[in-house]
Amino acid sequence: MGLTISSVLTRLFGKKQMRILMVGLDAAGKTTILYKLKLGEIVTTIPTIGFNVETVEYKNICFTVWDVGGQNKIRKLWRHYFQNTQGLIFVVDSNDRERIGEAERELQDMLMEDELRDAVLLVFANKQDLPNAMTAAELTDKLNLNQLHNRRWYIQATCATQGDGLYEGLDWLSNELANK
Amino acid sequence: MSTKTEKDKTKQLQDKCQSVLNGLLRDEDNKYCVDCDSKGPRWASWNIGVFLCIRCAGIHRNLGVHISKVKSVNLDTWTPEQVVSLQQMGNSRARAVYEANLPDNFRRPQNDSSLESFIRAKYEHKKYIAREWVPPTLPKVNWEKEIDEEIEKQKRKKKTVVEKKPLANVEVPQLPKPKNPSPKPGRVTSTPETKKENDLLGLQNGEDNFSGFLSAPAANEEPKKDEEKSAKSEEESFFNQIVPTEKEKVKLTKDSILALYSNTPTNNFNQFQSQMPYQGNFPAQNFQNFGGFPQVQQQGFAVAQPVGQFAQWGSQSQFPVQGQMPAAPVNQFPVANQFQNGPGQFGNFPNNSQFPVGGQFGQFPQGFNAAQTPNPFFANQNGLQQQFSNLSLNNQTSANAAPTLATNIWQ
Repeated sequence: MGLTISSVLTRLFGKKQMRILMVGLDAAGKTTILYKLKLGEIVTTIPTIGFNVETVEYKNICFTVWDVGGQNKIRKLWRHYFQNTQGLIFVVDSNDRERIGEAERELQDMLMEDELRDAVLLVFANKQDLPNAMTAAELTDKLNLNQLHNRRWYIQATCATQGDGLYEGLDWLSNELANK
Repeated sequence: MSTKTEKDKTKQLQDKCQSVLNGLLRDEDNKYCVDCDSKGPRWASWNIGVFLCIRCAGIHRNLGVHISKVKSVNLDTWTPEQVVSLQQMGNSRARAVYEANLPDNFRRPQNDSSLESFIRAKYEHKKYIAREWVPPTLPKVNWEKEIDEEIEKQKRKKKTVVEKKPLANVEVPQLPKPKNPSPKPGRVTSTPETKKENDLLGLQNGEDNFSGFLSAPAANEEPKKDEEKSAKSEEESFFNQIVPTEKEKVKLTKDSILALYSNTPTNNFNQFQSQMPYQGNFPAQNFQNFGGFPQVQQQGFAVAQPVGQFAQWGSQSQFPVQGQMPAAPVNQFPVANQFQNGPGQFGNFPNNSQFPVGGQFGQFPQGFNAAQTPNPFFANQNGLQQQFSNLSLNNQTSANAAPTLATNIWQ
């Protein structure tokens, strides 16, 4: 009975939608993640100049995921995607110790933007399969996540090429959406 | 005060990096992707020291930063150390090192998966590497100091409008060039080694080839052979040099085209640029554009008549820059137009908070749809189309600035 009612409700009101913006430094694995989620396979990617956008359905939620290029000079374009963003996915190359400071600055700068004040933050600690990868705990520290105020955040270790951790991340996002 | 100086310094440093990189790309050695041989690379792996096409750049990024650190020549900011690393190596030396033991009859793979295995074998497993190869240590570079000196000089010459002194030259210790360049299947190169060995970039001949890049075109980049004229133009005001005679235009254009095929380093690009300050990298870009087309087609994108279309746009001098936004879904594609800025255009980027050209989606409906399709390659196509539309715009701007020149180029 309950099931019937919920399915009727779903039919009446349609699926839940969530607008996701996925950013991060160049070569963090954003596009690979996007198409792993969308197609379930690893595609050969080229550096994104511009953006990719896909809808991914998971747990009856329709995620619209915007994947924006991360080269230094085009990062200032990210802000144009901020409006109405409910979830921010920040992808980090866990293997790139040299540039983790740069990633931290970009993340913190972005989180100061007013348009993102209500967005929840999911950090993908990607490329966990590589030899010298930092752990999620290490990255929490280096990205200063513990110092965030008034922000729902979560960090998930991932390996996009294997698909590890991606859906765990979406699980968290969908819970956050439900709790709102 | 200090912050402004700092900013200036950073900008000058960036400009210098960029101009050295552009110079490297003009070098015969670096005109083809080091891995797949496609024309006009715009990406680089700075730790390995090679220039790459965008496709191979994608593959290099899969290797991880412990093997290859990839950057875009135009879309990334660079440090002097990274630039010097590329200066030291370059595509020819890198082939001699990383392809020393490549089989004689080796054919460079062209499809994605075999290209990836080749690149992995080459850099990750170092299958073909020269045994005796010892990676060089990077020299300490201190371009800041030179730029400081430069700023000082500028202050002293504040009253003169024309900046005369180019940035100080940088002596870069060069690795010995391989006597016997590695096999380059499918392409014959006739690079005269003798001259370049000593002076790869023409950096040591007492004249900085790249100082005319972006900011303040310098008057002393007038043709040397024409000394009288050059001296005269130094006296003349800054703006006079924009208008060369018709004859000169034709000559310069031809020269710069020929320069692409000649082996001796020439200053023609710079002359050209200094005469046309608003065109930035005009000649180089146009050639890059052409270089880009076959590569894209090779990737199987069914773009309807790309070349014809863009070439046409390029030659239109009346192309309306504004008013191209045909009620584009701005909310959904807030930035579509932002990406019209492409290779070579980002130098101007920080100054433009508003981007000049309206959304292009009216022009590229298929690009718009592609972004929504499940097939990633279409999405990529979308990205590339954005690049294309940008390229066409570059041409168009140039055409606006100097229709005669543009026509000459296309001819």
